[in-house]
Amino acid sequence: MTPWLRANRAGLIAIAVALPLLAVLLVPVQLIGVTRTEVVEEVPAGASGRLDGLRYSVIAADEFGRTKGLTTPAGTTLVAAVVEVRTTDQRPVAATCSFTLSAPGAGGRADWDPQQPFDSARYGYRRGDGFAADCSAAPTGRYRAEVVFLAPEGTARGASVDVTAPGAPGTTQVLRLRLPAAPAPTAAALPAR
Amino acid sequence: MSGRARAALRPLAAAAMLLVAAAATLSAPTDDAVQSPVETVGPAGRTVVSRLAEADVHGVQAARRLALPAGSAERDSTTSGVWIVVDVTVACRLTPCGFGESRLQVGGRSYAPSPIVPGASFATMNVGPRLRYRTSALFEVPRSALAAGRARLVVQGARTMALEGVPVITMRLPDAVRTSAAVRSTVLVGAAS
Repeated sequence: MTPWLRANRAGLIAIAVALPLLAVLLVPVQLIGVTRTEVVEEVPAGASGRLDGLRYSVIAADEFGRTKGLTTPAGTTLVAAVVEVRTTDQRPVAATCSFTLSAPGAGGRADWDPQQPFDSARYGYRRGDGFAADCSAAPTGRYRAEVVFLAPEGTARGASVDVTAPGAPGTTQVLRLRLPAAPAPTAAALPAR
Repeated sequence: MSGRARAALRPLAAAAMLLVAAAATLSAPTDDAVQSPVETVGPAGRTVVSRLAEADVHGVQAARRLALPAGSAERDSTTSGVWIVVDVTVACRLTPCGFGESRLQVGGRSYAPSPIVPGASFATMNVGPRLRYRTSALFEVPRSALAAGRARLVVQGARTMALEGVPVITMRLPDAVRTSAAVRSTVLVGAAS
């Protein structure tokens, strides 16, 4: 060991310890508040999947646009899906859940929030009677939700309805329900439960 | 090297290191620059695309008063400065987003969009991805700001993280100030590419 190293070894050891320690401390700080999304299951069209004690399935889906008499702007459409939700023997833990439409495309996967009933009515869309308009985290028995999304034409092809619920701290769980490749009969025409 | 020479070199070396540290501090980017999103810059009249949003400026007007869309509640828009009215088409690309964190940069200052228009406006809208909306972005600026001649419209949503991209449109400011400028209603004009 040279005299210089010997004279400065305390400082050098401090630097060697402090730099990695700073890196370890600073990186997690950047990640605080970032929620990780975890797709727990991709459910094929027509099947059902389970998330947080509830069983979900898309029982009908279709696109409604100008060709069906609606007044959506050119190139856009309403994607409607009826999601059936059933309780299981496990009680839900999460206090909230939500539906989004999710579809791949240029630049990555895109997500749409559901339209409020008055928004979809603006384009002439009539919702079915007896359907819920959103997800309920604590249902009693079985219910059907009719969720409607405003999206570009053709979005329903290859799309899914994502059911989202909070998971472990810092994570969000997603159940991905694929829409049928060929649209099923109109959602609004389905009988209410 | 003799001990005396080495002793003389120490303060010089310390001074040199202080100079290097000062230069590094002075040339280091500010926190604002480090944490600001990455800009994709383009001129008015062209669609400028970032990962999460796109924007196309069609025209700019300067006026003393605003002519709000028909049916809007009456609002007093008289100003001691001047209104910059930017006719713009915007779209989110991957997630629902708004543009409330956008700003007009003129002569080294930034101005937030005005929410003076009731209902959905550039400052308050929240829209789904891949859908194009045409609207008026309104900025109230001092009259002296027009002397800058040019402005930059930074189109940014509330959830834009550091290192994310934002479209920035450069534009020429009008020379003349009109008595009144018409404000567009926010209208869905079609699907984005």
